[in-house]
Amino acid sequence: MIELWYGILVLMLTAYLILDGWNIGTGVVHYALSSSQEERRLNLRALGPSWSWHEVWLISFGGTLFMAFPTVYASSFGGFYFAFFLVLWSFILRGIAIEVRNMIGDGMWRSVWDALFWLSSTLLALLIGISAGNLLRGVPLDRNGDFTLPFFTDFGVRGAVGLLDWFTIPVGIFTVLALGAHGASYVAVRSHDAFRSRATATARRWWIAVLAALPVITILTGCVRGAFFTHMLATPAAWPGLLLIVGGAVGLVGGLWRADARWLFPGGCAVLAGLCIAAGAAMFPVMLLSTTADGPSLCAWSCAIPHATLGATLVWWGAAAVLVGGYLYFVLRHASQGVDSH
Amino acid sequence: MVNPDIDFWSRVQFGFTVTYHYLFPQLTMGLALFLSLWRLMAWRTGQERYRTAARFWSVLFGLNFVVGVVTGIPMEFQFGTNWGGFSRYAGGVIGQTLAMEGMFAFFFESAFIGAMVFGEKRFSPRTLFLITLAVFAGSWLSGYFILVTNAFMQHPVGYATAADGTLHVADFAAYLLNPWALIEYAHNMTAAVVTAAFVVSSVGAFYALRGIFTEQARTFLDWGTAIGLVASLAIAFPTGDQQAKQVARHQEPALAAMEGQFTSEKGAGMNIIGQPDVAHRRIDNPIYLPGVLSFLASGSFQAEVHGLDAFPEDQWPSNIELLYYAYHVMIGLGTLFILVMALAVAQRLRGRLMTSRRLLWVVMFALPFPYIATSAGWMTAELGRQPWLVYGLFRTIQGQSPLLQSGTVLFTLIGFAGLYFVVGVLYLVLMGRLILLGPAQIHHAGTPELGGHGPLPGGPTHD
Repeated sequence: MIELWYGILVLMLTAYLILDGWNIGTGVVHYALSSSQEERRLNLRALGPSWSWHEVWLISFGGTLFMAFPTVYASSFGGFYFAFFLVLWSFILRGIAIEVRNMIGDGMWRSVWDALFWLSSTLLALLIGISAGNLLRGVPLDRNGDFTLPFFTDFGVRGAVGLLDWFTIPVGIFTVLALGAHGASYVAVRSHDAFRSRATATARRWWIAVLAALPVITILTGCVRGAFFTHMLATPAAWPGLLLIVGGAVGLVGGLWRADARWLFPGGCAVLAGLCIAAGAAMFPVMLLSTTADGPSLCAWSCAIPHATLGATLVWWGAAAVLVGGYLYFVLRHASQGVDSH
Repeated sequence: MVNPDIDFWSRVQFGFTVTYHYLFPQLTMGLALFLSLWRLMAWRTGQERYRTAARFWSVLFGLNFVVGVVTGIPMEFQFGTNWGGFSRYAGGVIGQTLAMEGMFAFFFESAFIGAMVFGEKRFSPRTLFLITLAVFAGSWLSGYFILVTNAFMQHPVGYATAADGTLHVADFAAYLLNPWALIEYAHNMTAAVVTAAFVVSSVGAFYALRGIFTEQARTFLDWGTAIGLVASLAIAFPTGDQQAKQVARHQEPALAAMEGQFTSEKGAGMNIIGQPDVAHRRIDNPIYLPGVLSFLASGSFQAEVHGLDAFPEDQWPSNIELLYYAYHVMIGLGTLFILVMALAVAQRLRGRLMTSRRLLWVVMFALPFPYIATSAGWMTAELGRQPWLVYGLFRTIQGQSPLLQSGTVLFTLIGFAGLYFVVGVLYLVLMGRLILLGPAQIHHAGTPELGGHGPLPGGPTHD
């Protein structure tokens, strides 16, 4: 039962990273992809009218984590206090920028919101990556399972660590690159003609950077958390993730070779999903790894609410998940109309 | 470990961010009702004025909705960042409804919002009505899940305590159908309709006074005042009355503090006005209706009402003055709403509303007061719950995140104040602009473009 709920949480976070990831990525490449206000208008338009639907995945992930593992929720949100408030403020700025950018037909007005859209999206991608880096590296838990994170300490990865160090900063940059590449290939499949070629060219450049950075991040992760990869290979639940990474990488290479976004986009989705699933499976059952000697790590087994309640929850959650699948179909169908230049 | 400073600033931060957030959803929920009715009328009667009304308010709805979404995410986060003790203790219960809100309500509502705002050209009137109805159902459902969460904190039911002292849901039906939630929901949603009714009427009054968009002004005023009168009456009776009786049943110290009843007495009067003097345990300069409080609480003018002196001081609400004033502001404004709406409907029935300029000025400037009343109402509910976080089980002071520092909380609170100031100015400027452009402009410019939410229809220039 606990494995199941942990799996559900990993899949919800994966769905969030893929679906809102392309919206965030669109913001990351807002300037890399468009050289004029007209192109930036097209770029924003690729988000579709239901962009806020994808953010619901994060809210529902938070609610589900809160429900199933309240101890992990309390400890991690308290520990990531500043990081999470920066995430919140980025969300607010980003939502406002998307909404109001085209409400006034004035060049300077649009420039301001273009810049804020790019800035808040990039900051959001960076913070998501840094948070992921912190989860991989571990946090300085105390005896009660709580922690605080200063922005940085000595940039080391052991003992009294901070939010930023030589491991989490590269993971953050990698996430900016990956979501940017994902966003560019999303814009490419949704647009036509000259703008599509331009988006495809951007997506190629960014995916090449991601593929080059992936081995570096893998090696760094091996240095920080040695048992991670042996555990990953020994965990059957991680294998579909590894398959997705390999399959997605093949698609990406094919897309790079043919300069075709119809290969790059699904390939990129598969690689991102594979990374989430493999990492999630390899971490289990540890939910918050401790970097200190006196505080034990927080494990799924000891942080979950009673089995009977988790089982009963599955009934309504399963029904809701079917409905969500239906809405997903509706949202994607209406987003697939494509972006043209008039 | 327990630090009253952190408790104070975390409460101020949560109170500020949630009050600000709720300015938007209350209009979203109330307006969703108006939009559904107008889309229904447009479909059944085929009249253009209902389509224009629905189209115009859908665009305003869209802006309002996005601000509601982005200011809502901080609420869920703060349970973890600031109220870790509470999350550990009660996450197994309230996490259920927060997860349900996302899974059942938000996904539902936000899947259709884009189609509702931008789908005019793509869908038939019938489909548009169904889409709008889905947004209405989704937004009202999310309100229900939040109120079940709040009702658990006000009146915990359906839970069990685990070996480590934390709570989890034992009886889903009891938790989801908490009697407190049902009454609170009826009261709260009626209030949301009052807010929307006043906003719609206010814009109608503005157009009528200016002599522009006359047909739309009439539609807004007709629907706004009619629904507004019904909702203003329903908010007092039966929903407000039931809510007060429920507080009397389960939170006696809260009711005593709300009414400024310091000592127990038979035939207790109801204070209309006066200042609570907590040090001397009395109301200074009171004007009161004799026997009325006894009657409202239990149906008899002679019944005994417990004053605060009947309860140990550690169960008294922690800010009696603010609770007393918030409650009286809510009651006073609620009474005025009935008066204003009744006058407007009376003039409407005589066919004179469009020319009653003084009354139209009053209706126009009534705009902020429902927001003040709902904020005061929520302050009454939440200050009345003190000193408990989960009533009778868990004190607010136990709820904080253990390693937080008060300066940290103050820092993020100031950050929110600054950011929300900017968001508020933008919201008002853009809403004002849309209202000035008016329904006809939005009509002529056709459908705004998808995503990034197109150039404003009818705007002065498009580069």
